[in-house]
Amino acid sequence: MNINAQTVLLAEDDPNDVFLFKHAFESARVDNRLQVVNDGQQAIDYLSGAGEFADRDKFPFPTLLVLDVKMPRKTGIEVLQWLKKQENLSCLPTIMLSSSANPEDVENTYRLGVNAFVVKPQGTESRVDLAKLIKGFWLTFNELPNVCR
Amino acid sequence: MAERTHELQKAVAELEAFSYSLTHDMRAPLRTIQSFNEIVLEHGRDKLAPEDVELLRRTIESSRRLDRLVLDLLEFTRISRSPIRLEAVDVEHLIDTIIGERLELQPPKAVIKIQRPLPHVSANPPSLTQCIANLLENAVKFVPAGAVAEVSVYAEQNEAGVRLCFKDNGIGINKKEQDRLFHMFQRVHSTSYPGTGIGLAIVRKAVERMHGQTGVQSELGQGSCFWLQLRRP
Repeated sequence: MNINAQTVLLAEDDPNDVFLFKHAFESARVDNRLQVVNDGQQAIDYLSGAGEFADRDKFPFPTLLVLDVKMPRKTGIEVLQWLKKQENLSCLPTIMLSSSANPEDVENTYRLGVNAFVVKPQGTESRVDLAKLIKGFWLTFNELPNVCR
Repeated sequence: MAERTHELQKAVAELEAFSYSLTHDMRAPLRTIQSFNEIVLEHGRDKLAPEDVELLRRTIESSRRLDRLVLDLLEFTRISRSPIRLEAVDVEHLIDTIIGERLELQPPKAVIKIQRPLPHVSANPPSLTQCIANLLENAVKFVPAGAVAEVSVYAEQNEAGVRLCFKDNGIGINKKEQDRLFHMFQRVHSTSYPGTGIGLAIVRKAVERMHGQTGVQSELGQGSCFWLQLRRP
């Protein structure tokens, strides 16, 4: 595990949303490395360091996980369920993204222990604001226990 | 007969779930259209011809308008589908909260007077919040240009329960058009005032689910009085 890496792992299947998220991170001058996986199963493989993600220098363990709620193979909610059962990973801060605030999804994800539920901003300005907030809070002020680094 | 009713209820539920998924999924391509155009505009502001900048601006504004429509449709399907639990609601506190959270409902844009005390009603708090917010937002929106909206909120006790009234000094509504006002996509003042034509359909659906009714008394140029009839707790 690379202790110094400040990586954000984004699990998102829509390539346009990936582009927009990267654009927002660049515009907000977020220097952290952004790793992207395209479905829920890949997110689990990345977090476990399994298969193609075994090399932790290339695929550092993230400081923050950003999950899209609707993804193929495994949904964001299924990844969250899996994560919370892993003794050494369950403290990883996780933000759930969705196109709408479906009350059932919001309630389910909070019951599972998500740290934030965010409706994907529709415009670039608010998306950059979100990236700045992520940088300012989760990647600057928030402290993680050693077990989750 | 019971079997037929069950089948119909199932079909309606499936249609509502389908509608919810469809509108939810429409937001992703809209996000792409709006954001990509914004990025092109940002990158090319100095290089593009003014008429091209204008076209991009109109595309962005159209995407925003369509997204507002999608959001209202999502709200309508959510209010139609989600389980609803009725409880005693302190309307006065609820209205104070709604006004406190929305700058457009406060001076200098609007003056809303509440005739206190207001009685408690039997309602679902999120649904009643949505109804009252929609009515107050309409009341302050549909005023003559340059006028400050003045809204009076009061309650009347009657045999069926409580009638909450929202009386405004707005532009009013023609009698002929009042019936269709609470149906989907009906906009009486379509060109001069922005809107999706879903807000009052949401109010009607939400109030029906709380075993109540809604309506309006109005005359063109004389303001309107929208009301919600709800049960006592």
